[in-house]
Amino acid sequence: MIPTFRTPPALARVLAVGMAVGLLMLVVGLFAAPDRAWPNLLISIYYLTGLGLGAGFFIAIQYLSNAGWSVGIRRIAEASTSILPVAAIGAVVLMFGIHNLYEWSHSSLVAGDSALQGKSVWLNPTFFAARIAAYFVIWIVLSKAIVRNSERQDKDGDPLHTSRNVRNSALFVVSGLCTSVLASMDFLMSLQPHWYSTMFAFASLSGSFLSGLAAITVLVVVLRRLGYRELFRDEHLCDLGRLMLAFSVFWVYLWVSQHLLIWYANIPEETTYYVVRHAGSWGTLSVVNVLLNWAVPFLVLLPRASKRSETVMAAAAMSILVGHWLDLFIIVMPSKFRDAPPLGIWEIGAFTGILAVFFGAAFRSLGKRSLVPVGDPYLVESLPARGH
Amino acid sequence: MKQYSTLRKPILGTPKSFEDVTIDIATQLERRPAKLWWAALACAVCALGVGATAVAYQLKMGIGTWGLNNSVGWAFDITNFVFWVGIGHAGTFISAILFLLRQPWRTSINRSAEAMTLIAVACAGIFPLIHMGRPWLFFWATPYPNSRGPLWVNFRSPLVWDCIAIGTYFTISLVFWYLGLIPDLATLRDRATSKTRRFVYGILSFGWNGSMRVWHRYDAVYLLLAALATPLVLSVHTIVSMDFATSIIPGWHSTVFPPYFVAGAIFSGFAMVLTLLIVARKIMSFQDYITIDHIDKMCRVMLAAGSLVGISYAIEVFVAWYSVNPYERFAFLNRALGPYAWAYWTMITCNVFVPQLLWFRNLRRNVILVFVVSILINVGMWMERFVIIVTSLHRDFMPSSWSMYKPTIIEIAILLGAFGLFFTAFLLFARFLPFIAISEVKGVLGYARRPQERSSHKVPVHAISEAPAP
Repeated sequence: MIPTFRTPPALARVLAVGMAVGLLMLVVGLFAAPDRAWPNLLISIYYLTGLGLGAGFFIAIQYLSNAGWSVGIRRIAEASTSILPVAAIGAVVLMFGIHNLYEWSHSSLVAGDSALQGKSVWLNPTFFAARIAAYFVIWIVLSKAIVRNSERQDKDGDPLHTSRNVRNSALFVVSGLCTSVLASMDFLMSLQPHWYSTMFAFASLSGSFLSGLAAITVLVVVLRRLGYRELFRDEHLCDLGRLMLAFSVFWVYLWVSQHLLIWYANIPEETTYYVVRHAGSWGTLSVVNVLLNWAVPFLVLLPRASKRSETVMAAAAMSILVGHWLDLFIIVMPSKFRDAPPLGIWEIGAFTGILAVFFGAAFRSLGKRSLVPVGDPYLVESLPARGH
Repeated sequence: MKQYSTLRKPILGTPKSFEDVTIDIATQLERRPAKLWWAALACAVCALGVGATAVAYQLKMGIGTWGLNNSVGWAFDITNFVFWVGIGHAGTFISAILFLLRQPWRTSINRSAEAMTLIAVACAGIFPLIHMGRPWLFFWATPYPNSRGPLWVNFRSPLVWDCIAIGTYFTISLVFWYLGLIPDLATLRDRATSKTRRFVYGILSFGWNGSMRVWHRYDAVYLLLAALATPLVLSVHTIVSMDFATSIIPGWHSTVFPPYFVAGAIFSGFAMVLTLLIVARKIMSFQDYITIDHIDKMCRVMLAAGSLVGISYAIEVFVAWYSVNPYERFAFLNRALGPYAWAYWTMITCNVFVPQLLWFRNLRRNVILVFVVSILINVGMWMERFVIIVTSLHRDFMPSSWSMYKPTIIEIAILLGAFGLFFTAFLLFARFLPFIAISEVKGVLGYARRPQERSSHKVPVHAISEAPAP
C-alpha cells in the first residue's frame, strides 16, 4: 500500500515564508520600483510556465514512446504541471504591465516606426492578451486531461486510460509545441520588437524543458530524503541525470548555434541583441549563464556514480534551476537596463518567491493522490526487479 | 529478473532460439544469389556506369558542363551532397541514440541502417570532390603543415568545418559499424565450409573467440562509441547547415538552420531506411525480424522528425513576415509564388502534408502505404534542399543579376550514378555481410516473452535473463 504524502510542517513553513517574501516583494515592488518589478514578474511567470510545461512535455513524451522506466516518477511530473494555473493568474496580472514592458504597446511609438507598424497586426495589446489567454487555456486543459486520466487509472487499472493518454499526449505535444513557440516570441522576443531570430523559440524552449527536468529531480531527491527511497529508486535518479546531461548539452548546442550564426553574419539588426549582452557586467553574467546551464551540470553529471548520488544530483539540478532563471534575466532585463544588470532584493525576492510557489504547489498536488500511478500497466517496469 | 508490462510484445514476430537466429541470417549469405539480386545489381551497376561516364566527361570538359551561372553558382551538386549526408543520419541515430535510449527493437535494423549511412556519406563525398577544379588536390582542403608556404586552410570557412565534421563522422560510423560486425563475422567464420571463406572471415573477425573477457571489453567499447557517435549525429548536419546559414543571403541566413537541418536529416534518413527495409524484409524473408511493429515505430520517429521540420518551415515563414525586412519577405514569397513554386509546393506536400497520414495506427501498419510515403518523403527532402539552395540564389540582390537554373543532362546523369553507387554497394553489403546483427538480436530474444512461451519454444534459459542494458 502506498502511503499518502503529507508535506512535513517544517518544510511547509519554509515554503510559506518564501511565498510571503515573494508576494511582498512583488506587491511592494510594483509601487516602489515598477521598472524592475514588472520585468521580474515576467521572468517569474515565464519561469513557472516553463517548469509546468517542461513537466507536461516530459509526461507526454513518456506516453508517446511507451516508456516504462519513468512511470514510477510520473506523479512527480504531474505535480509539477499543477503550477500552470498559478502562472496563468500571474499572466493576468502581467497584462496590467504591458505598457511598462513592451515598446510596441504604445501606439504613439508605433506610429513613428515603420517596422513596428509592419507587425502591429500581430503585436498589439488586444491580440497579445487574447493569444496569451489561448495558450494558457490549451496548456491547462490538456495537461489536466492527462493528469485526470492517470488518476482515474489508479482506481480501475484499465489500460484504456493509457491509450487515451497517448492520444492526449499527441495533442499536447503538437499544440503545446506550436503555442509555446509563439509564447516565447510573444513574452520574450517582442521585448526588443525590432530584433528577430528564427532559433529563439527552440533555444528558449530547450531551457524550459531542461529546468522542468531539474525541478522533477529536486522533487525526487526531496521525496527520497523524506523516506520514499523504495518508490523513487536509484535507477530513476540515474536516468533523470542522463536526461539532464543530454538536454544541458542540447541547450548549449542551441545557444552556441544562435550565437555563432549571428556573430558570423554580423548583420547589425541582429547583433544589437548580443552587443548589449556582451558588454560589462552583462558579459560576465552571460558567461556565468553558460557555466550554470551547461559546464557545471555537464562535468558534474558525466561520471556514473554522481548520477546516483542525491547530493550531487540535487546540486546539478539547482545549478540548472538558478541558471535558467539567469538565462531569462539576461533575455529580459537588458531591454530596459542596457548598462548594468540590476541585481538586488527585488530580483532575489522574486526568485525566492517563485521557487517557494512552485515547490508549494507541487507538494500540495503530491498529497492529493497516490505517490505512484498504481493502476498503470507499465508500472511494473519501473519497480525494483523481482525474483532470482 | 527484469519484469515486463503485460502490454509489451516480444521483438521478433515468432519465438526463436539462438540457433534459429544464426541460421535465418547466416544462410542468406551462404547460398547462391537469386536471379533477382543479379538483376538488381546489373541495373545498379549500369546506373553507376552512366554516372562514372558523366563524371569523366565533366572532369575532362570542366564545370561548364553543369547548368551553373554567375547567380546560381551552387545548385545540383550541393543539393545532392546535402541530400546524401542527410540520408546517412538515420543509421547513426538508430545505432547510437536508440542504443543509449535502450530501445531493444533497434537490433533488427541497426546493421543495415548503419551500412546505408556509410554508403550514403560516401555518395555525398563525391559531389564536393568533383566540384573542385582539380579534384586530385582534394587533400588541400584538410589542414596540415605543407610546403606551399605553408598555406593553411581558412579555419573560419564552414566548408573546412564540413570537411572535418564529415571526415570524423564517417570514421566513427565506420568503426562503430565494424565493431558491431566482429562477433557476427566470427559466427560466419565458424560456419564457413570453404577454406577461402573461413580465411577471409577469420581475418575480418580479428580472431574473435567469444570469451567472457572479450565480450566485456566489447560492451564497454560499444557503449563508449555510441556516446561518441551521438553528438556527431547532431554536429554533422549542423555544420552542413552552416554552409548556408553563416552567409547573409535571405533564405540562407536563418539561425534555426542547425536543429532544423538535423531534424530534416533524421526525417529523410528514416524514410530511406524504410524504403530499403520494406523491400529487403520481403525479399530476404525477414518478416519475423523486421516486423510490422518495427515499421510502426520507425514511422513514429519519422513523424516526430517530420513535425519538427514542419514547424521549422512555419517559424521561418512567420519570422520572415515578422522581420518586416523586404528581402526576407521577398525570399519566402518568391519560394511560394515565384518560378520555382512547383518545387516549393512539392516539398510542402511531401514533407508536411503526406506525413500526417502517419498519425493513424492502421496506416502506419500498412506496408505498401508506408513504402509510398517513404518514397514521397525522399523526394520531398531532396526538393527541400533544392528549394533552399536555388531559390535563394536565383533572385540576386540586383534584378539585373536575376537568373534561372536548370540541371544539364550531365548533372542528372551524375545523380543517377550516385544512386547507382548507393544501390550497388548496398546490394553487395546484403550479400557478403550479415544484414541483421546476429549477436544483438540474440540479446533481446527474451524481451517480454512470457515464461510459458519461453519453455515451449526452446528459447535458451540464458537468453531470457535480460535485455542488454547500456
